Amino acid sequence: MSTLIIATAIIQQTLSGAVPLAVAGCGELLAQRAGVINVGIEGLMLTGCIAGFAVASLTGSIWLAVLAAMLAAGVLAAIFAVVTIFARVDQIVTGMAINLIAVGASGTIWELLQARGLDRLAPGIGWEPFGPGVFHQHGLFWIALICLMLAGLLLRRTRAGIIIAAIGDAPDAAAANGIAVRRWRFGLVVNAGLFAGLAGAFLSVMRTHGFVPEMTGSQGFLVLALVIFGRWTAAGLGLGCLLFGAITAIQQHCQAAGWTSFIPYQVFTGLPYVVALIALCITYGRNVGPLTLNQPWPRQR
Amino acid sequence: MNATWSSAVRTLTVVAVVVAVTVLGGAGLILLAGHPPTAAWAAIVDGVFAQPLTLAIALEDVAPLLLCGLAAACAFRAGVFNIGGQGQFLLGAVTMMALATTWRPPGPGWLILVLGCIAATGAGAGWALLAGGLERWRGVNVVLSTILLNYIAIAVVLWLIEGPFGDPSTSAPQTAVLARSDRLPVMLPLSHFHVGVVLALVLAVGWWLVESRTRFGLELRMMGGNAEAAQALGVAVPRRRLHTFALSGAFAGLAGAMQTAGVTYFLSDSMVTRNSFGYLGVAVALLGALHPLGVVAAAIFFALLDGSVRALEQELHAPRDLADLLKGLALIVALIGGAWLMRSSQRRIRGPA
Repeated sequence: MSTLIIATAIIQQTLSGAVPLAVAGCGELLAQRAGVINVGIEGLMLTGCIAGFAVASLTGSIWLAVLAAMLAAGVLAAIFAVVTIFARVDQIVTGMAINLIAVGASGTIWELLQARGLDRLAPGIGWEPFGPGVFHQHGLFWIALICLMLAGLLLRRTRAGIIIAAIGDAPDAAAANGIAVRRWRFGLVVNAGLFAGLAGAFLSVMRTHGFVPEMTGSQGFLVLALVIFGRWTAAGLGLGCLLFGAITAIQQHCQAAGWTSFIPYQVFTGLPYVVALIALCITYGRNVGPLTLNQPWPRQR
Repeated sequence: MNATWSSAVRTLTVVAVVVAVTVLGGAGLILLAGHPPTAAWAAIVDGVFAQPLTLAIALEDVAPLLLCGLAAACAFRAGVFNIGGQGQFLLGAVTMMALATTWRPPGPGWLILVLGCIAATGAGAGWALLAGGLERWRGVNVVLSTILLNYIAIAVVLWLIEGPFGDPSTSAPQTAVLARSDRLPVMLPLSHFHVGVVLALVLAVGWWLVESRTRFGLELRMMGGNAEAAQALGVAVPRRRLHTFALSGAFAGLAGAMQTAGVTYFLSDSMVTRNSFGYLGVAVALLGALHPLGVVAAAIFFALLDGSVRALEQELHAPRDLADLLKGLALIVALIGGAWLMRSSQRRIRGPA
């Protein structure tokens, strides 16, 4: 009987842990498919965390909080897009700069909020999870599921999907067919920013009802690994998110069940990254990804 | 003659703009936080530039910033996107502490410092080679593997300082404190301005000579410019990439050894999770345009920026994270400036369009 309860709890936490990864992953999947990799996803999620939290504590409205989180991350993503797509600076490097800015800005805003006594949300702000059994989830779980399906359909069944893949694999050919390569890339990168902001708002105002500096805890980097692990497909991405939700849930249960008395707890905290690395070793074949990932277009100018 | 002159003017313009944006941005943010910029300026002058001692204290962190900057610069120059400086730095730090707190070799007292630095270099190189090997034999993307290895390094190092190399006299997860004789000698009493800073500067100049004057350096630069062309011209690219990983990791590992043996004297869990010298190294390298002397300037700039923000924090209780925000801002401006410099020099080579 109790094993059934534990299993239910683990599955429920698996699904819940997969939500932020899947939400941020949806946007990043499309952007990478079009040839832009944003290492700053981590920073964009963190921006969403602090912007959402700040607006929630100032206004008390969770709708405004989610909107602000998406807008703030979207603006930062737009800066990234201008610098990489139009000024043609290296994508990896610009992503690192975005991360620095996000860590610094979120920490600064957090200290300013604390100084004004705005460091916690009034009780009752935020949505509670609902639903039976393992589906006792936040509403964003269902949104994440729908977004993943839509992203999959978009990439495989629509004209836009073909355009995105063409931009990622053969931007010259796409441009020759009258597609505005850089405008598409810009839009997809900003879109990825909006999704990352939403995932950040989920972490701060929906799940924990609070903010902690660097609370994203490298989930943004895991998102990058998962998009690649899923071989740039929505189904693969969803599977990867579930895998990592499961690892996190299981390691938390093992720690809570007292396994740390004979296994160092660092084994559990390091486990997700080791698994991600092994997964990349197993699945990463050459030349499966977007052919122009991390390359500015046009090549010569 | 004329062309070099105008390119020098352009470069100086970019540098001036970067510094100006950082200073003005800082002033604006201080104003936003509700302090008059004049008070902030006075606090910075008092806290950093007033005396040799305050300046030396501000420059303590030049060694790890510079060495991590060189780690990123040499790798990026060769087209190897090693973002794993943080993990390599931590491995170097823990190796130094593990050796120096548990082992006393026969011979002179400074021997342990030398051995510790060598071992830390090896540990950093080894950790970087993990990513190099994964790329060469499994085709794993370097950016991802090095980022993931950073987090694995945190777990490994936390375990090491809590378990095998923990301080037996306390239950806190930290190593023992280094004996006085095992610390890097300081050049100015009361500060941690240690000899490692000079060694780091020497290494920067040394790497500059190697990169610009030797066959190895030329091969790295060729690889970074165009790997396929380098391969066609006889550079053993896969092997050279592994060499680059090792060299880059060695710089970062040495940075970890210097910081523990020269500044902190022990390693605790909060230091492992809070410091970010490895990541900052990437920013330092890019701000310095990957040129070893530029990296030196960028490392000093970042150290002064950190020192200034620390002074603001003490005097005006300004948010400490301003420093990271300003570093990111400086980096973005420098990147755009760099792209502009590159384009204007290409236009000169090809002639006006």
